Amino acid sequence: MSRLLTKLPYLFVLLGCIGLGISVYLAATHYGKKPIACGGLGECDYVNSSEYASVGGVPVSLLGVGLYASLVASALLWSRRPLDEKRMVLYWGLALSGAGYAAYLTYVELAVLHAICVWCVVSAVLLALSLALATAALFLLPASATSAPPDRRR
Amino acid sequence: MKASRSGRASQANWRRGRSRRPAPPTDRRKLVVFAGIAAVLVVAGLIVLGGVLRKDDTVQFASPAEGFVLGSPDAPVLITAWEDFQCPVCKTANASVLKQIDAEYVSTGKVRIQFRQFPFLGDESAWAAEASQCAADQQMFWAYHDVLFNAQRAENSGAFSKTHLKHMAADVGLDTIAFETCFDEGRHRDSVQAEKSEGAKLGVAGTPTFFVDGQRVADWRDYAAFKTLIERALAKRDGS
Repeated sequence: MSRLLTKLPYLFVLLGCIGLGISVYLAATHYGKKPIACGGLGECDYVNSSEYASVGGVPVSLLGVGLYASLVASALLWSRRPLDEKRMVLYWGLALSGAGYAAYLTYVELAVLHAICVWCVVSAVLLALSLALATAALFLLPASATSAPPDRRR
Repeated sequence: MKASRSGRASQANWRRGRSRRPAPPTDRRKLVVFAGIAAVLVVAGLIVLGGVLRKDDTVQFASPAEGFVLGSPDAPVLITAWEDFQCPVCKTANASVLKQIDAEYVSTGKVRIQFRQFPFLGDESAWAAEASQCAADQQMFWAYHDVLFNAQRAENSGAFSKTHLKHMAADVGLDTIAFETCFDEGRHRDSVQAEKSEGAKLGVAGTPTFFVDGQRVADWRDYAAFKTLIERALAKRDGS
């Protein structure tokens, strides 16, 4: 089980790259003033043109690019030392921030705007999954092996 | 040599997934608490900042209204406002100049503002106009008017889809069954188009277009000039 959990950072890199792709696409449509391909699922343009889609003029999609880039970077860092306490918690903290804000945005979509942006939902699911798995790693990885495996070269 | 043997042993222990050494004092719990608090602060900060920095262009009129007329029906001067709910400039006009006029002239009983429909920006403009007429049937035109302008987004982006218009009616507190019946059967479709044609005959080509006692306002953004027209109309009423 612990062995399996030490492979998680590689999955997080993959999830982060998918999220990064979505955020870059949404930011590109925002700045390019292009309609969002929504595949008939939800109302992407409506949601992304609402006043909740930006913070002080910065589109939320751009915040997403920053978040996912940080998640990918920290997952890569973690993958080099899968049992490193600090790297594990750094990723978990970032995932918690992302999932928390995504939860708020999902609430706004459902309760305030009465509309769903399918890309935002996929992103929220990615973040929730990342947080759940990172939390599992945090609880299940043995506390005794909190540092990196001893280096062979020493 | 000794260190190397101990390193090999701990490597083997790690591979087995357990260590015979006593667990080193871990600060995991502290780290998690710290990261959790930081994450909560980041999320709360983003939510609060988003709310604080959202520009205040809320449309909300304080004066009492009757039908399509805001203000006292006995107010001597009439401002006619030809508008489209999808028109962003109309929203700006409502949130700025008309709000000022409301505070200065409408609330004091000198001026009344009559809303006229001029939906020309696409299907969603027409649907919003029809929906607002259905709200007027329930004496809630101005409340619905404010909600529509505050919900305005990019033109024909779905902000005024039929579903959203019905949600907004419920939010305002309209009788939703009566509203939906009125809206779905297109009870006001013809009257909205007739009103638009009437506007076109009067020379309305875009929105917002304002008239003060029948005299067209050349530049509504120039509040001083707008006020001069109102004052002149008031003086004329006083003189007559």
